[in-house]
Amino acid sequence: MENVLFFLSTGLVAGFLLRNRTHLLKASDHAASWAVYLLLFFLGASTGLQPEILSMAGTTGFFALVLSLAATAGSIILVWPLYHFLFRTGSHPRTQKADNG
Amino acid sequence: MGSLKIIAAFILGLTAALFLPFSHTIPAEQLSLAALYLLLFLVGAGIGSKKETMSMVRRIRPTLLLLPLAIATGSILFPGMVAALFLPLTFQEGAAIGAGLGYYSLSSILISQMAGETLGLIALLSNIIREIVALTATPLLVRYCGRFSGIAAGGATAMDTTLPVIVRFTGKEYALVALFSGVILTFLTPVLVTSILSCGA
Repeated sequence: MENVLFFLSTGLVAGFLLRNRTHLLKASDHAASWAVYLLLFFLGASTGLQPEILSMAGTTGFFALVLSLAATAGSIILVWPLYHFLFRTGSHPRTQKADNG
Repeated sequence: MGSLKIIAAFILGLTAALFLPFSHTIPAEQLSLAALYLLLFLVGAGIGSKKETMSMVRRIRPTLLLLPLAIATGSILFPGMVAALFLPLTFQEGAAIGAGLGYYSLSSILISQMAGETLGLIALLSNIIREIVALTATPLLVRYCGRFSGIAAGGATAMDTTLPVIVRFTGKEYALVALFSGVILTFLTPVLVTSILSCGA
């Protein structure tokens, strides 16, 4: 947990400091994509090395579907009342803070 | 589409493990951890260097934070309850998968590191499905379930993959709101997933 926060925050600061070095940022985008591919490759490999996971593929897919629908529905339900609260005018979003505060 | 490459990488790994006799000799554990930390650093860098991030932070009203917070809360509580009540999973496991917020690559990796490959695989599929739902159902959702439902369904992906669809059907004037919500949730995903799985561990 501490490690996760540490690397995220360090990245955030580094990204902000180097925000005008487009070359570097392009490279970091590529690196991020490759890190993801590498990690998913390993996730696939460790799954393949455990036959008991593969035998549950159908069940896994069903659980995944149910949970994703629950997450989507849950977020929509909680967000519903917010629209009127945040944009009472309903016509255009005032993302601006009020001048007096 | 990025998710196809992701799935291809996963299947390639799966095939390698099944058909290459020496595959288990690769130090996957250490390599994965190093790649994970690198990825977290780069995700942070991506958010920090985004031109829009700073202007957004300056322009957005603090009360708008309620939007990503509500999305995260709903995405965690509902799957948690559904898992505990209807599936042979615990509340914590369902909640962690929901906390992926559609960010399937990072969340599935974190979950498999902390809670095993089976749950990691469910997280991967579940969050890919969430992104597909957001991409395909946003027009319907916005019409029948409220103006913000596209932003809610998109979760963390509202800052990139699903942003065009959301803006198209929610309205151009909400592009900044969607982007803001997506950025906050992208940052929160790893934090929430690890916090939930560390609870009582």
